[in-house]
Amino acid sequence: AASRRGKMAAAGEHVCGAAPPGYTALAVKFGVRQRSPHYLLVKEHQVREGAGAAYPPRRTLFVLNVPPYCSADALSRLFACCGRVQSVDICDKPGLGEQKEKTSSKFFSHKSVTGFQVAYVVFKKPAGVQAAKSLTREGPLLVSTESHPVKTGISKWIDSYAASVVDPEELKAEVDAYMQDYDKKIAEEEAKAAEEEGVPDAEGWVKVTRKGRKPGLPRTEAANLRVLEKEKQKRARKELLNFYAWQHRETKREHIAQLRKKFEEDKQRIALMRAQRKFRPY
Amino acid sequence: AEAATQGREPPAGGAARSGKRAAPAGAEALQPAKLSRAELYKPPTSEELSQLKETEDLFHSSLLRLQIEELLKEVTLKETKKKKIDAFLHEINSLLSAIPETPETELTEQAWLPRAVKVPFLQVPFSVKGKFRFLPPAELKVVGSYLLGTCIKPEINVDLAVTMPREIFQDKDNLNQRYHRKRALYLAHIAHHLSKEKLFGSMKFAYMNSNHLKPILLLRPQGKDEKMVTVRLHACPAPDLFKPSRFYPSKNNVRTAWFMEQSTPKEGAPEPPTPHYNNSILCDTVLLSHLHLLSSAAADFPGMKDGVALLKVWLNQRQLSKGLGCFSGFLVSMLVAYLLMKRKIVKMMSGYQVLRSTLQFLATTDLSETGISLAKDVDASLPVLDDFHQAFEVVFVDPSGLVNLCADMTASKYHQVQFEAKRSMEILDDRMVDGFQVLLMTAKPMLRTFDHVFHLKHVSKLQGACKKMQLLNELMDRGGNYVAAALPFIVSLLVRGLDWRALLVAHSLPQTPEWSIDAEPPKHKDVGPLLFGILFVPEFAASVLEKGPQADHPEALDFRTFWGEKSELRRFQDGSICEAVVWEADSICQKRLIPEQIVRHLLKLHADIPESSICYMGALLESVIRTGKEAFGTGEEAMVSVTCSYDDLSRKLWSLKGLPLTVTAVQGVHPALRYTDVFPPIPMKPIYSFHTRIKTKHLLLPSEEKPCPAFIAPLKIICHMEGSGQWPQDKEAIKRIKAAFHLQLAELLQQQHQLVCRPAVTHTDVYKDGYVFRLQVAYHREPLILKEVVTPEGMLKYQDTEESRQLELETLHLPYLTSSLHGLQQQHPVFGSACRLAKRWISAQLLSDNVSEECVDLLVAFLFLHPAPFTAPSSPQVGFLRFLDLLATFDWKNNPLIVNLNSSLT
Repeated sequence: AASRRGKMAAAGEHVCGAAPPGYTALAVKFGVRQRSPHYLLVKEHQVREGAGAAYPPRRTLFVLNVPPYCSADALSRLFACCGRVQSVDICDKPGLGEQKEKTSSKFFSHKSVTGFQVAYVVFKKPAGVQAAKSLTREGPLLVSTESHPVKTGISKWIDSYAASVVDPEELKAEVDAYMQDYDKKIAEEEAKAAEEEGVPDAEGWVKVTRKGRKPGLPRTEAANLRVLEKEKQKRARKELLNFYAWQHRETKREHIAQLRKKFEEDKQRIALMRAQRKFRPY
Repeated sequence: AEAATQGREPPAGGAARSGKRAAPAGAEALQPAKLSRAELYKPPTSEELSQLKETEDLFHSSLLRLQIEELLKEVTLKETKKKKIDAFLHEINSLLSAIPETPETELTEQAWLPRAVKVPFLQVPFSVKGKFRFLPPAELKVVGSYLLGTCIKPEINVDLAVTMPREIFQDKDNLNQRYHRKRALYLAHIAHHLSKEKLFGSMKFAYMNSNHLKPILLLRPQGKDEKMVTVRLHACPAPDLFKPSRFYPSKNNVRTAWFMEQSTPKEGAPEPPTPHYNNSILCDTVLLSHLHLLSSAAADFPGMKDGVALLKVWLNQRQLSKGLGCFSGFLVSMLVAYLLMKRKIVKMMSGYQVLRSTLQFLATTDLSETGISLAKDVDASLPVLDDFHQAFEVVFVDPSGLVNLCADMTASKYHQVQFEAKRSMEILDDRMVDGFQVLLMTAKPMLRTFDHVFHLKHVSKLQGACKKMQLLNELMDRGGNYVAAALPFIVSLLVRGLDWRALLVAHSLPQTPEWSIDAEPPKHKDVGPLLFGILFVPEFAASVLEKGPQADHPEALDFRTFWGEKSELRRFQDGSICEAVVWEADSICQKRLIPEQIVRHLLKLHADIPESSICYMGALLESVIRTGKEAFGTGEEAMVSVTCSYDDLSRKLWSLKGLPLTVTAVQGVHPALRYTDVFPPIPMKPIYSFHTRIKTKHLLLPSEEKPCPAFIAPLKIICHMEGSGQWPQDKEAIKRIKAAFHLQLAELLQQQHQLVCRPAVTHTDVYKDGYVFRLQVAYHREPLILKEVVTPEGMLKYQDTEESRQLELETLHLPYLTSSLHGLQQQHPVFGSACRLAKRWISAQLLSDNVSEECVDLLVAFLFLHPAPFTAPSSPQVGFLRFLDLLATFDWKNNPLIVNLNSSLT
């Protein structure tokens, strides 16, 4: 395995010195006028076991070092020359693709990722992956072309400002729909709980909830602590103080011990301050 | 200060971060005291019991006792050094008695003195009668703090009194500086002879307490001991040489004709009294008797030694113990002796208690009104205290009943001492402050103490002032020292002019440097620039009106002459017609500079001091927080208008109709709403031609070809909604409901108040009065819901998460900070500006990534809430200087900085 990795690294080396073993470096330029290219690092997506359905093996290309100005659309355009691209997924960390959000709400799900990212490009056919890996032979790819320019500067800001303005009607409709679902879910849960109320299960246990005629204590940490505190107070109230002579002696002894302890602490603080020359007034 | 802050960690925002920091420094950090059980509970010895009891009785706490002990160890002289000094003194002693005598010459005939030594005296006018010859000293005696053991670092001075033999003096030597010149010549001759010896590292002349009538000779040992000790030679006469009655405060000893260099005295004109001159001679005659008094006071009174040392440190830190008219260490010792005599101090007391009692006495007694005297038996022939009060501003008479120990002190200086003592007593009684650190370890230079300071650059201009104020008699009395003569008058002028605006007007003490024996003595103008400091009463300092008496009252004339042309007749609302002065000022920052106008006007009018000689430092830094056009000043007005607009909006939110839940609170988050935004937003209107209009979305989009529209910073406000059972208990659902609220708020504000609103998922932007407010709805249980974690046992636990912390910061902590600091600004109107200066500095040092804005807000708030040992700043400049000092000197590594907002921590 080591020798193979070495060979791969050597193969990469003649393209660009920076590609880590196992990856192929693809030169990418923002526009025509840029002189030095940026390198995307690509390899075939491989997982030891159970590749998810989202990123099928052999057809998925894993891309590292995706610059912030490179959107999913731009990526799919870049790799279109290697074969039909089925999907492009950009995330901030490599993942399995399973935990992709199911609810793709337009307003509530967006998370803005800044900086460099990783991408999974899924081709229709495995040949696409291989073709992409051999793209190194050609010159640097262009992200921003005449037909599909990537906006920069003030026009980009104007765009993003325009995009940030939400349509109130649409938002309202979505919120209403979500809340209806939510209310329905809660109502179902409540109905189920009401059904189970006071009904023993197979082993004869009855579940006590906060609802019903005899509500139980809430099972929270705070409530537990409160109970313990109350117990402690009750016990303290029962105790007699200054009743026996030995108690008196004990408090005196305790007082002196406290003073000593304080003195010792102070001495230590002073020693520390002395070490820092804190007693030089000027 | 910049260099000092480097390498120190800036304060962390919260406790969590400071905890992290403490961990790697564990080696030095505090460890809990470890005492074994046996050691803790062993039966106490009687010695230990008494020590514990003493600590309880005599000191505040055992920590204070230990701290004081350490400080004393640091400043007092070590035994080994004492031995060296004693040996040095012995050698000087033998050298002095071996100096040869000289033949008698006229006083003005000084050719016998070699050119390598100059007479350490300003001989103006030069001609004077009398003869001088040098004879070896009659007696040599160490006096002062060295014998008492109260001399402290950094300057170890040993005072050596050299008694000049009787034969040197003739009759009438008390007149016309003859005594002083003989004294100077005597020292010059000694200097000439000692300069041949190899024993000394350096030999210099200096003025005793910068009083130019009293030169002294400074001797320092050779080699590496040079810094260790300075032996000061004082030449003095035999105690009974002069008749004391000649030197009563009302007597004259400097003749006008001589001083003015007129050949014949004017007939009939009475000679004015010369109390300061008389006092300077008397001082020399009582050196030994003072020593006896002090040593009898210090006998079996260990607390006195400690107490005096502490008081000296206290004075040193306040820059009160050096210069002409200082509150010297000697004066403190005499004061303690006085208190001992009056039984306000007993010999049982510890050093700490001596410090306390002395400060208490100073705080409550005004020696410029009611002087005190150490003289025990009242001799009818001696002058009484009233005589002294007429001649001097501050009165503290010595045991002989003749010498005023505070002769050179101005009333203003004493009031400063008194003010400091009062402040210190408050600090000592405040349990929340570390009194030791604040009183004895913190320096109080004038620049950081006073709200405004100004320099008198060319003190020679005071000559003109003396002429204008007709101070010839004072000049004669002070031997031509125009600085000393004019200073009390200048200060009282300022005190009257700044009357109700200023808590305290103080001046720096004129100090002359020491000079080598072959150089001419420094002139009066060599005291360097004089520094004045003003401490304001914040309520009145910026008032534009100076209301005088009614026009027909007799005082009106006085008022008019005092203010000159500025005074005019004005009719007031209550119908009265009064003399008044109105100062011109439009903005708040200009109003803060009204004291500058007053100072410049009065000094020009009454003392002929031109504006160019006054270097006033009140608002030198304010140009960096100036906003927009001139009219806006330094942004305070802009901030007020933001707050007004915000108040109006919050009222409108409260009364909004048609919301399903009511608004329970509206709180600001943005720094402009707590007056600490460096550049507060300025109202803006969109320029329609620069935008393209998108009808479908009711949107103005900036167009690319046109100039970029102005940036309007959104002002974030939190709008708390009422709690209700209808709120969902799920974080995703809460987000939806909040979005729905944002939509509805936008709609209602538009309908009911015609405000332009732009709703979004996380907020609603409201355009009002040219500002944009960013409204964010909050539900008080949401952070709790974000924190909920269910353990495997089914127990509900609350745990901080990144999300909940962020939300708590936004909806709980920042609003609390904003409202607290808003309150602070109401109490201290310069808080905001000081804070903005601090922020500018932090940004200019490229530190703003590490020190957050809120952190700077809190640090500056600390300066206002815990100003000890200073008073809370009343000008942005002094606030900023103290901010820099705090960054540089606070012990960030070992101590937490606690900002007690609203005094909620006890």
